[in-house]
Order: sequence, then C-alpha cells, then structure tokens
Amino acid sequence: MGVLTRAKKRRLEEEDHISGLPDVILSDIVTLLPTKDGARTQILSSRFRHIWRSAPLNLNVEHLDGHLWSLPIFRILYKRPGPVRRFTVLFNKASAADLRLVDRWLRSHTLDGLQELEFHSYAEHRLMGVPPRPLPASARRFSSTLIAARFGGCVFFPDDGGVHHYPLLKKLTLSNLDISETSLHAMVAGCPVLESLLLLNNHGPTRVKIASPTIRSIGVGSFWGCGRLKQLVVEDAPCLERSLFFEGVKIDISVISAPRLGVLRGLHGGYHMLRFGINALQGTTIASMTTVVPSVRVLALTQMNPCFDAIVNLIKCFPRLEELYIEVPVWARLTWEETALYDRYCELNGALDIRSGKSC
Amino acid sequence: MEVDKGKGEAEETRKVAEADRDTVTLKSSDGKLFEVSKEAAARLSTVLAGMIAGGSIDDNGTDLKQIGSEALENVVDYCNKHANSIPSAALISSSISFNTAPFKEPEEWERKFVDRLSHDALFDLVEAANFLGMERLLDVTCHKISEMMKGKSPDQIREVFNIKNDYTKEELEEIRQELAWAFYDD
Repeated sequence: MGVLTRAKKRRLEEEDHISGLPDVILSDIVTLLPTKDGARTQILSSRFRHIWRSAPLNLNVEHLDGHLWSLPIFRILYKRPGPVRRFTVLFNKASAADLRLVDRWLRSHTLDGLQELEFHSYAEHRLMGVPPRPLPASARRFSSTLIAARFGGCVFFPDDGGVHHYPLLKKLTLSNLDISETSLHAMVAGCPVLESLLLLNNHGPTRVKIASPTIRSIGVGSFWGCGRLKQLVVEDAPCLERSLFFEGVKIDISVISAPRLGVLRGLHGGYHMLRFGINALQGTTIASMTTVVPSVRVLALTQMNPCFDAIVNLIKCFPRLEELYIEVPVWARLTWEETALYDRYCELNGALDIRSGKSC
Repeated sequence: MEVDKGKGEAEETRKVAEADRDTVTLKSSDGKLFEVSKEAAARLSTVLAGMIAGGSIDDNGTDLKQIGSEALENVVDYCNKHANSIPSAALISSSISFNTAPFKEPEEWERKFVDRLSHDALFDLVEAANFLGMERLLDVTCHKISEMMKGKSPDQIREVFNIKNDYTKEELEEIRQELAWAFYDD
C-alpha cells in the first residue's frame, strides 16, 4: 500500500461520470467504437458487461493482407443478442470463396434491419486484367432499411433489370463499380429521400442526369479510361446545396435547375466546364454569360492562375459570393510573384476570403 | 459571444412582444439568463420545440432547473452556432471524407466545439442534451467520448474516466478468455 499523494487522492475523489450515464447513451458511445474496442469495454466494470452485448454493433471486416479471420464473425453474428447497425467489408482482393463467405454473413438474421453497409474491394482489377466480381446478391435484402450505403470495386447487381427501391437511403457512394448507365439512373430514382450522392471512377455511365427532390450534395470524380463519366447534368434538384468535384479528368457540368446551389468546390481550371442554363464557365474564363447565378455563395477552384480580371469575372457571374478559395498551381505562383500586382493581391496565394465582395 | 449578448440585453428584449421575438430566454438552475435562437432551439431540441409550440416559454426566462449555468451556456452556444453555421462543404478536401464517414459523424466546427470542453463540462453537456432531447448534440458529445476511448487499453480507459473495476479475479479471467479475439492486434 502506497501513501496517497495529493494527485492520487484527488483522482479517487473524482466522480465516475461515464458509469452514471443511462444505458441508452452508454450504448450509443460503445456503438461508435471499432469492433474490438467496443467488445473490450465489457472488461471495464460490471456496469459495462451487458452494454456491448445489446448495443447496436458497428462491425468492420478488413481483409487487406490475406487474413480476414481475426474476428470471430460467425460467433458475433450468431451468438450476440444485439443487432448490427453498420457492416463494413473491405477487401484488398476478393476471391470467389471470400465472396461466398460474405454472402453467408449477409444472410445472417443478426443483420436484419441493417442501416449502413459498406462493401468495397480495392483490387485494381482492370489494370491487372482481372474481371471484377459481382456484388453478393444477399446485399440486396437490406434495401428497405439502409440509410447509408457504399459499394465499390465490383459489378453492381448485373442481372437485376434495373429495379431498385431504397425508401430510407440518404447517403449513397458508388465507386470503381462496373455499372450500366440505366442501372445508375434506376438506383438514384429508387432513392426517394436521397440527400448525398458520391460517384467516383465508375465504369459504364458516361452521362449522368440528376433529378431528385431531396438531394443536397453531389460529389463526382472520374479518371482516365473508357466508359468514364464525361457529363453531369443537374436537371432538377430543388434542395441541392453543394456540388463537389474530386480528382480526375474533364467533366462537363450542366446545371439546369438547382436554385439553392450555394457551394461549388474543386472546379478544375483546365478540366471542368460549368454551365448554368446558358452561362458557361471554364476556369475563370466566362465563355458566355447573359444572366447571373445568385445562389452560389462559396466557390473553390483548383489549378487556377488568379488574375484581377478573373476575379472580377467571377464576381460578375456570382454576385452573392461570400467566400472564394483559389488553389494556385506552383508554376503560377512564380509567375504571380513576378507581376506588378503582387503587393496588392499577394493574399491570393492560398485562400482568399471576399466577404466584402457582395457589393461588387 | 452570442451568450454574453443574451445576458446583457435580457432586460431590453423582454419588452419586445413575444410574437415578434426570434429568440427565447432560458434560465439555468442557478438563475442565470441566456438567449437562444428560437428557430435553432426548436429544430435541435424536442423538449424546447414542445415548450415553444405549447406556449410554455416564459418571457422572463424559462426555468430549466436541472441544468447548471455552465452547461446551459454551452447548449445555447451550440444552438446559436448551429443557427449561423456556414456550409462546411467548402472545407472538404478529399472524396474520402465526403460520404464514407459514419452516418452521424460530427461536422468540423462541432468537433472543435466539444474539444475545448473540460471533462466535467463534457459530461454535464451530455446530461443537458439528454434532458432537452437534443439528438444531434448527443451524437456529437457521444462521439467525443468514444474518441477518448478509442485504441486505449481497459486500464487506460478506467484511468481517464475514473471507472472502478468491480470484477473478481475469476470473473476477469472468464471475460478475458471469452474476449481473447478482441485483445489480439491485427
């Protein structure tokens, strides 16, 4: 027995706030932990013993170096009384046997009511000349309960005839998928409450049309290759607030109706052509402009050589702009520093905040 | 800070007719007054929404006897920040953080909001959020607490949260065997 130091004594007198929380809140906290961390909370004290067993589980299965089985998946799926809320399966390279196993897991009743599903295979199958494998058919059985879904690196339900209905799905990510344009449109149309859609490097759809009464964010990115996305048409999106463009190559973006679109990020100076109705903008050059776009408040541009005329052009086009971010390429920074305008506009080298630009 | 304004101008705002006000005044257990955006309060708290709809909001400060002034100041600060938050999309730098994060992931400013809180203040805020039926604030605070547990050994977690290990040696051994898989590193 040691002597109680002042610090130790103070610690002993401190309260255990966490054990006093109601079960439902403690469950929420444990649910947010990675699978193993969550399970280990049982050993903290008897207060925690039953929490993990009944809390909705976030189950992560990562198969990155050829060993998938450090988690007793079947024991968790068949012996643990609580439900699974989020199931993540990430493969480095999925074999046919792996997929059969995942298919069996997905059929487990413990997963009934699953709210979030992530299935992603990282295999660079196309580069290696290996055909991508199909998404396990059992993944379809969660269509009525999923709120967030991410499918990647596989063939998206190849034989479904394009029928989808996901009545609760709010977040959808489709990346590195083999998917037909028809299937993609059917999928988006089958999500009546979709709020957020991310499409990255899919193989198949070259032109995507968005018409959704609920969508708030769209993110797109597309690399080289045949069958890649070349055009995004926002046909009718009354709630759309932000569009983000990620790494990749040229995409033409046409916005026909998105009256609340306030944030445009990642527009590439050389690659992206943006049209609002009949206005067309490429980089900071406005190809044709007859009306202004009042909804846009935040604009972030990449690989752009800033100059005073360009800023004036942008402010003319987006008169309500509150924030403008310009990522200047290295080669442009050198040129920029050499210009006579450097002293006056040197703060452009990085991010520029033009809240006062409203009056321009 | 918005809350300071709330305290200082409470007298003046009371004179304004209830129907015209876009804020409500809340009173902590120790009698301090705070002003909060009515729209944000109704949107973020089921309890306050019910009180506003039911007309049980007191012009002189609605009594919230279960909530101390420090926690209530944080609640009000959170609501007012929510009312004024700008779209965080502008700051998203990669596709990874766009859609793949867990569904209830806090926004960047919410993360910063709870990061600055002391241990005691964080737990007081959890209780206040629970009492007021503020689901989003509960998500944010629970997320912070889970971050404090993530990747730590049971001993480290007990130390951080002052949890008393009340198991017998035999019970501990039994649980440790049952959970052997959870103690292996990948």
